[in-house]
Amino acid sequence: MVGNRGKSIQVKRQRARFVFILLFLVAFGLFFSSRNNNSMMNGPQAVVEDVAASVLQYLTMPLRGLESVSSTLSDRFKAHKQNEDLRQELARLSDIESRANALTHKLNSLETILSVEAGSGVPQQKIAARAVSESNGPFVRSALINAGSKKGVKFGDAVMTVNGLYGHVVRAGNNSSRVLKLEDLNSRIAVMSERSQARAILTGNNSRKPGLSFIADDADWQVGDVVVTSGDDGVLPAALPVGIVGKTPNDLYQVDLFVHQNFVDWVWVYPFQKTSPPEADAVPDLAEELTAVECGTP
Amino acid sequence: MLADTITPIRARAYALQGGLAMLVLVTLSAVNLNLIGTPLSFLFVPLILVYLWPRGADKVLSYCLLFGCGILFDVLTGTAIGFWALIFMTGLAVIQPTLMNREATFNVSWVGFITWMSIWAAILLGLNFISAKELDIVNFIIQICIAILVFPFVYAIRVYVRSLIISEAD
Repeated sequence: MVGNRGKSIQVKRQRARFVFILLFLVAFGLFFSSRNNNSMMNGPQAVVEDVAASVLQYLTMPLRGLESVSSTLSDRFKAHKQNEDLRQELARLSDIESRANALTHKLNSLETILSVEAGSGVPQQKIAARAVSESNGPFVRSALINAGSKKGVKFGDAVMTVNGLYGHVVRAGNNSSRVLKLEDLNSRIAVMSERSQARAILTGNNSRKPGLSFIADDADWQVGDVVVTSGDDGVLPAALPVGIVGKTPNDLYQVDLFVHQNFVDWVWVYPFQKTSPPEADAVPDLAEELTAVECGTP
Repeated sequence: MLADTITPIRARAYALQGGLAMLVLVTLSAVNLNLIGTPLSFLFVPLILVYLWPRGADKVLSYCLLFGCGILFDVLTGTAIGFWALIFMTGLAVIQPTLMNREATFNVSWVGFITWMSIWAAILLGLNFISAKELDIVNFIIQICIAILVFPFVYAIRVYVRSLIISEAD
């Protein structure tokens, strides 16, 4: 009796050990396979995110209410000062707006005369979405938004808040998308100084202030410069506001992101036609075409 | 061992209770809160439940449920798939044998949890140092502190739910 019981306990333990090792290996395999973006898990992940986004949307409602109460309370203390500042800014911006309109007309006429189609680069279409879950952990900085490919969101699209650039889409499901935030360790964005047009790469470091890297020796960067996207990578539109340049104690450049000025609830996605490489958009070789015509082959 | 004296049906029921609680905690932990400009997230809170996992629960089912919850947590938080599953399962495998026969008081449990979190943090920080990855150490420590502070609430809820289940059974 005791012997049988002892045997069954032994079998149970062995089975538990076997299941643990098996699941451990599966998890380990999944962990390494999902470290690249083209993982086989992308499809199922997008489906789970779709479901999770709709659940979290309802789950976060009371929390968003609490956040807006806390935000309203803190805003009330600053209301008078803010009102005064806003009035001054409005007066300043009205003047800038009229100048900008005049410049836009002038630019359009010049572009028409020269037959060039430069444009501002910033897409006109916006897709509004709600950030239903934000991950600000030490390992990853990302967010789940409740708009997906059904609304026209695609991989790589820029995601903005009212304050500035938030990140870009790394996975788009039907009704939800995963956004990689600018602070994430894997985030790399081509940026420039609005003042000097000096170029750099905004490199995420899992902290609130990403760094600037790949700065040319003669690049003119200064503390206080406004950082905007340069559009050089052909992935994001140019001129999207990012943040203000600062310096670390080690004398390295870092960027204080505009997006941190407020808590993130609503965002919008900019669908953007990426610049494809010439290989992907190849024009048929003219010489080959001519030979084909001469030989009479279609 | 305690687990060996419990009937298989009851052991499975314990595991399912743990799994259900884990599912709720994982979903709640994926939501973060911004209060007066300070973002608060509860990323390490599910580890409390790994620590407080029902002692007599069926091990095979426990591993399977923790694996599933870990994968779900990875998807919700955007971490590499398998990361949390590995941490949850390894956590249970390390914690369960050491606490198997001990019905600890709240204070002992809390101190035990703090010790476990400290060891775990030391290992992760060591790995981060070796791999030269830039882990946000301040955020990491804040997350650990949040989990330690939330522990009494989860413990109280567990005690309350347990008392409800026991009174139902009576």
